Amino acid sequence: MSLAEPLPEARLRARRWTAMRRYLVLSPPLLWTVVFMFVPYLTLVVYSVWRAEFPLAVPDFQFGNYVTIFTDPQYRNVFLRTLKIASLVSLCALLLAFPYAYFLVFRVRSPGWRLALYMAVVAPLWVSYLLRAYTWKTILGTNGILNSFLISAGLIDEPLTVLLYNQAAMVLTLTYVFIPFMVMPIYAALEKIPPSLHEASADLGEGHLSTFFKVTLPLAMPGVIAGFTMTFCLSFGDFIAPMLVGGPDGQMIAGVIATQFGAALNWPLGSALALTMLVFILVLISASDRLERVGQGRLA
Amino acid sequence: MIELTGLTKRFGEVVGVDCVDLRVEEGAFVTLLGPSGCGKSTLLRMIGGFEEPTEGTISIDGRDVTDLPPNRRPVNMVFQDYALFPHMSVGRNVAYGLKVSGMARSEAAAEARKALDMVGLADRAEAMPHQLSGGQRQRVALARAIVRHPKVLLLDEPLSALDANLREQMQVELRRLHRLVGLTFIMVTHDQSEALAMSDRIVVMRDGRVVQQAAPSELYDKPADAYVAGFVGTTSFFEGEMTRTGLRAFGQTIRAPKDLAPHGRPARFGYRPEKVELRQGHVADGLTGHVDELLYRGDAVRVFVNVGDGRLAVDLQVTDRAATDGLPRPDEAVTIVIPPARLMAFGPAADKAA
Repeated sequence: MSLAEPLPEARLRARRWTAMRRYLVLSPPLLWTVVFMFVPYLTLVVYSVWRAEFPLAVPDFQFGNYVTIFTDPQYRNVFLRTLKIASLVSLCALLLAFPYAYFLVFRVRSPGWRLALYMAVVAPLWVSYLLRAYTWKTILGTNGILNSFLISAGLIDEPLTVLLYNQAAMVLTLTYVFIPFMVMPIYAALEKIPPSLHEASADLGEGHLSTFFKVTLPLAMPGVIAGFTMTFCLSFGDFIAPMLVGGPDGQMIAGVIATQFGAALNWPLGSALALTMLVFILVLISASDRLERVGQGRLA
Repeated sequence: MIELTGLTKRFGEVVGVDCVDLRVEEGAFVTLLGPSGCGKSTLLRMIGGFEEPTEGTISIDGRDVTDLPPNRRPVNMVFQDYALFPHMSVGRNVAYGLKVSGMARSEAAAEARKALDMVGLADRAEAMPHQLSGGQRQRVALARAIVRHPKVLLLDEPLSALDANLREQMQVELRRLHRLVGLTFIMVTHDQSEALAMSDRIVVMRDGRVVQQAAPSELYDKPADAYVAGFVGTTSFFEGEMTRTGLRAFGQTIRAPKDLAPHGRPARFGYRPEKVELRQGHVADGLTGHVDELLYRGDAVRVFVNVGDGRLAVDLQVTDRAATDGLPRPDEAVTIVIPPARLMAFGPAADKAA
């Protein structure tokens, strides 16, 4: 027993050191989170109850900014437009991405080709987002590639101006920019489906089409939901595409928020708008997370 | 009845299944046995319609089904990984194949319940597959396959994912189910004891070809060659030569049937270790040697005996008598007495295949 006496002290020191090491490892990300996440959010919350007296924000505690957001039709319209654009982008991306991912997983036999075709979709993520959005300006513009092609092909005489600066151009650009976020989760979900399930379905008498609707699609749903959520959230918060290819009726909510912090110098209203959007997106994400988990429980 | 004629499958240069002819009578339980890569699974998958034969035909009850897709064959398969649909309840999994045949929902549910009852899972119809144990999933897969009353039930290594205790229990279950439903079962396994225990007939395969097909007892007692003898059960091999006085091996001569092997030429012989006797000391008409090592197995002891330059095995049942008399000790002189009828011959000595 006497020999064991000094041990607790040593062990205590070792334990303290372990705990300290844990904090040391954790502190940089913790610090980062506090400085760049909590502090800004807190600032937003504080500003959102202040009063704007152009060009200043005056400390106050009132909910006038929120009232404005929910009563002024201007904001409701921008919100609905953003909702529409984001939904259309997600839908277009889904309709393009699903067949593509399906093709990659189930039809491309060679792993090399599969990887190449997969990377073809994902690789653009390494190119600056701004550049990729800007590309569409050069394609759709009056002197753009598409117009030049159509004129040289003799299909039109005058360059078309309807191609750019409207909501369709925005949907097109955003779909292009965010489609990797739809392809990746769907690809992952489809790849996880054991081939024997398709064989079992055929074995039990089902053809290709009904196997798709009864087996493949339900099991791919977690990927579809994840992809839809990501694409939706990303395009919902976008303000570059409206700036580059959107028309006068193309203002989206993120752009409005940016304006409040910039030209309009109305930080309180901007903060309130930002927080409202944040809550909306958080609700959306947690709902989709729920849905996804239901699907995953099935696969486990 | 199911009939395979000249069935061949090539994957590029590799021959998976090589010109297999096979007839399976209605209601039989036939096992395709062989090591991995011998083509048994490919053969089964061709019958199921999941692989297209390169050559040859498959017919079921006289109807050529070679070019039919899986969903139009009167065949159902129990997959190795069970392939239960993870997003459907057990009941819906089992009823899955019934709705296709235009059965009403309520009728399909009743049929599914009946099939689940047959495998003892009637009370789990509402459960999801991930809530079941491995053995239960196996039963669901079985119920799902038999509920459609196929002409043939294909089983791809059905018990390989189960642990040893459960496996034996499922062997009994499968036999019982086979008797109950009276369908033709074709099972694939690499486990020889499983094949021996369950089948009416075993088809031993090697390198895409059928080596031997026979009833389990015949296969065990009269293996066609050294490969089968080594793969099914245990065989102790040795080299020797037939002479006029008997079989000469290790400089000793033992009694053997005269027509066991051609005389005057070295050949390979063998016996089943549990079918011979081990006596103490030197005994005439046996192979005398010295005990090398003993492997205790609870119900039996395998004794390795050095005879000349060879090493032979003898299995002793551990009975009360053996336990009281004591087991042979290493270096003890012993004689292996092989009843002549238990000797097996495997052609020229050069064949070292097994």
